[in-house]
Amino acid sequence: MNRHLKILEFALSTLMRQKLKSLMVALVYSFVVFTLASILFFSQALKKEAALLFDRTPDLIVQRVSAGRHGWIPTDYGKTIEKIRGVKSVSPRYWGYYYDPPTRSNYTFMGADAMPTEIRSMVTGRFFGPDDRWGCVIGYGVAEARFLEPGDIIPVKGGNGKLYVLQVKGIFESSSQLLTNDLVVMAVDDWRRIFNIPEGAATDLVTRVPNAREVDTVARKIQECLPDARPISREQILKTYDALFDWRSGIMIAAFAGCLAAFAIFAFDKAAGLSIEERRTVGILKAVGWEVSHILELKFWEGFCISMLCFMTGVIAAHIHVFYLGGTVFAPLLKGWSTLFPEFQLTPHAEVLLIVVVWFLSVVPYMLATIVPSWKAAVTDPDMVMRA
Amino acid sequence: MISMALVLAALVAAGHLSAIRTGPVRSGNRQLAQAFELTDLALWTGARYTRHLSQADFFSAFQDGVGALEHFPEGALAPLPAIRRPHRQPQTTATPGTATTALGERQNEPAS
Repeated sequence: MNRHLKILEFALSTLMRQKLKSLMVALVYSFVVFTLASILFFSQALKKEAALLFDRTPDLIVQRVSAGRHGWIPTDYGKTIEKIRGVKSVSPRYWGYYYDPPTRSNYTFMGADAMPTEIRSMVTGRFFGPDDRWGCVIGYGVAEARFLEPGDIIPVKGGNGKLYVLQVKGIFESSSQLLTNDLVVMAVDDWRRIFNIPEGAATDLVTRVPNAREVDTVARKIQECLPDARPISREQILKTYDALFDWRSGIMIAAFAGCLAAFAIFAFDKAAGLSIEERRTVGILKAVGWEVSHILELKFWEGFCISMLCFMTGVIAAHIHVFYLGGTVFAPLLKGWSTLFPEFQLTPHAEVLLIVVVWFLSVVPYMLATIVPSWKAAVTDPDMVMRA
Repeated sequence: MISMALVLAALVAAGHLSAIRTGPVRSGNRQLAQAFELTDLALWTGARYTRHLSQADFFSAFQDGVGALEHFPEGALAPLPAIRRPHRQPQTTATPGTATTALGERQNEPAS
């Protein structure tokens, strides 16, 4: 035990002797670990959040494709869909986009006539009732952008050129920003008037299929009955978000590829051979009686100390960056041109597994790159090593 | 190094606790998604195909400007659609003016 501690002490003193070199290695190494861990934490947290939020989304959404793009769907289509065996119910969804010139942002206008009691706690103010004409509930982002509070009004230019004035009855809680940030929910009749949508037309139809195994069959039958219909299943929605965040994390890694490549070259350089100084040290140690195993242990401790130190620095920094600072480094890449970007706090998911993945990707290659050339030098005659 | 390991362990534990603590918020959001039948995150409001990614008609060309295949940076970061090759089907002998409802079966278009 004492021997191991002495070798560890010697390894630390070797690192301290080469302060500048060790510091440079530590900086680059920590940055690489930080980048890799941040990307993995960030994309995993968002992916998991989307999966958890949308696990109860409609089984099937049926759109109508008209002239190659999404068009209004007649609500009569619902009667045809309801006749398909396996379908429990069909209901229309009313939503569309509204560009707000003063804030230069797009809102999602949604028509809904009732709000379930269980989500009333998520609204500051209240939901509009059947008697409230032109009442609406808005997302936190809309309220922030237009400085609105319950009781205030929003003028909206309708599809027919007229100006409609909506009164804010309630605002969705800021904790729901990830879903409701740009939402403006109003009565279906008001929604129709604003967008000039005829009776009997909706944006899409929500189809409920109790048996998950029948969803694909129902989707196929819908397409057979209604050739211009486009069914989108919950599985497809979840897969879209999975693919999206995998793709985004890939793009982010590609953006940092230069840095990763620099580190790989650096590790390869180390693996390719020891410096003259290091070779001389190995030779001297062998000449004064150190065995091959002692030299390997020394190099192991050197690599272990520096790689674990950098690994932990990088992972701690990544954790703070993603879960406490909201991923500030990636925010511009994530936001794009969204003027209404929600503020949300990410929570870690399967973090231990991700830490193990980062450890395997960063520590193991570095350790190998340190030990292999040392072993080569250690098994060579000391005289030759020093003369080389 | 031991102190750093302890800090990391504490952060992981704190993260786990925060995930538990945010449970009620998430369950509220899930109810909201269920009540309004929401299908997408309100992350990118720049274009309709980024606001409602899962509902977007990626098959329509020039969604936001003629000649602009893509001008939203967040759209550029959306995943590429998977390339699918259609199954080879026997050639039909459809002629202009006729519509094929099923393979081999034809019906005449009304004369305009």
